[in-house]
Amino acid sequence: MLIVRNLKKVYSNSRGLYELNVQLEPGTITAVIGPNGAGKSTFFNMMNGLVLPQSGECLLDGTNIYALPLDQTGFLPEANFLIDNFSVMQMIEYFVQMKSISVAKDRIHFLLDGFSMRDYQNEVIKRLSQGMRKRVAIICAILNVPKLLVLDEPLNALDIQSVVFLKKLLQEAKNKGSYILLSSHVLDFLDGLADNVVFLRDGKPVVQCSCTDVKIEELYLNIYGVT
Amino acid sequence: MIALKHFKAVWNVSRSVSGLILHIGLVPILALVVCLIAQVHSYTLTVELKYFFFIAIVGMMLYLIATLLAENDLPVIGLFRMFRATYADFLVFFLLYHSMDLLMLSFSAAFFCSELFPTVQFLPGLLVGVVTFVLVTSLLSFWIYHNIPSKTHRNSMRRISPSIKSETAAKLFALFVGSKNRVGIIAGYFLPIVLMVAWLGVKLPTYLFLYIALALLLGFAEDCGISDGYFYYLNVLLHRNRRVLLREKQLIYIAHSLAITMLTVFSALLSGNLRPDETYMPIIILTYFCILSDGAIRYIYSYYPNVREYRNQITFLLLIMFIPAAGLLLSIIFSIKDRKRHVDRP
Repeated sequence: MLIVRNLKKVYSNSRGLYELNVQLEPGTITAVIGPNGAGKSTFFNMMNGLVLPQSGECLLDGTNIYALPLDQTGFLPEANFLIDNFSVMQMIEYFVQMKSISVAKDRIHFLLDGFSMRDYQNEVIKRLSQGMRKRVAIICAILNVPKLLVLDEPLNALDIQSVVFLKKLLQEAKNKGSYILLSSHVLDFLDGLADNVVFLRDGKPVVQCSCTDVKIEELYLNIYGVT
Repeated sequence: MIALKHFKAVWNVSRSVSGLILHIGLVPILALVVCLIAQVHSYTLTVELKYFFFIAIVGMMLYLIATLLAENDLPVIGLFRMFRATYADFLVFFLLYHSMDLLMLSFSAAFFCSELFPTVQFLPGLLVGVVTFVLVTSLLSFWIYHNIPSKTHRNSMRRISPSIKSETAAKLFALFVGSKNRVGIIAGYFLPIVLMVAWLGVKLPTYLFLYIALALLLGFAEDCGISDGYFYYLNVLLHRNRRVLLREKQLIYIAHSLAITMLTVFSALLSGNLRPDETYMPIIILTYFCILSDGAIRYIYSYYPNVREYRNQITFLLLIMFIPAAGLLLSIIFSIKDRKRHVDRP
């Protein structure tokens, strides 16, 4: 069970996230949705350690997520974090070594092929397009199907083929019992994929519910009143 | 420990000495050698030159701090955050990452302080220098550990640059702010010259002004990213393919080497003709050599992270190192001749 309890981080301009409480079952995908400035990235940055919470905690099976071994976590922050001078393959190897994981070559090739990056595996990161960097970042996050997978805006700059492949990867991780958190503004992508949804507004959760039997877009329209 | 793991991973991933050199920095290592040579041979320095070096060291220190704060290590810092690095990790990372810079700066500062002020001893000066820099790095690490996620300088620069449509504007942008941070340029180059001029007034001999102006121009050009910016401009606006880009970059670097060689020989000639009693030229020339070699290694590494490709470029590397080496040799010959003339003189 992943428990997010009273998680709070408020910036000097009063934006951020106010006391978020969420409970997630293993093998579920949870979508975090909200307009710009709702607190999604603050939440995800706290989950991946880029921002430290002012109060509250996140526990995964009773262990604080900041104490989890690196091989059990996979993060995709919104900002670029890849090392410019590394090639795609070097970046992947770097992650393998930093996380102390063993990943079969077949798995790496499967991911590279799926994201159409095989021909670019020796290309230097700084010469890749934004979409390609995003694909590399996703590969690094999902290399070993971690127990906790946090993806902040994974669809940004991705082409359709990559989106389809990403969906397949998320289903695979879900079937293996991973806890998956992701944010996106593309509601069609989340429909049929997400099990739960958390709607945020002004740093506060508005609605949290299961969305297996309901279209997320309808919920969104009801909550935010968009016409 | 994440910091050590990072260095080990970088070493394993790049599988080449250049990877490690890139991380530690060749300039400080070679500059340290230059200082050692200067110490062993007890070169006589003019007071003006001592001041120049002294202020240049202060400038370099400021530049180092600015670099730490603003730009170079940002992606790694982001990764460190994700890998749950502690303050100790940050501290070890920065101390190791800049260890040679710190040692070199401490060494140079101690050397020139002991030259400049007869009451200052070299070894205690070195000790004070090392302790000071370790303290500065500790404070910086602490500051970065608590503040870095809000630093988006690098990203904002990236966001701005592609939005420039006009070729002239893009060229200018690339030339002045495209690839390096302004704080570093101001701290590293403008501040020292302003300080120096303010300190020494008009007492400097004309040739030294000329030399400093050329050196600063070269350094400024290098740091503003004339070459980087130029290629950025080509890449983004003209969409040249990689092969063309590479050939042009090779040409630029060869031209750059030639320019530096001419500059060093010119300086040697100037010193030989105008101030034959000075024997500091090898230091200046060696410093240029260091800067150039560093640039060459970084260039090769950035273009050829793949080891096999990298090895294929050794010939080119040797070529561009040969040109300044020839200039260095010529300059040393000039200097030795000057010294002999000075010794022979009554």
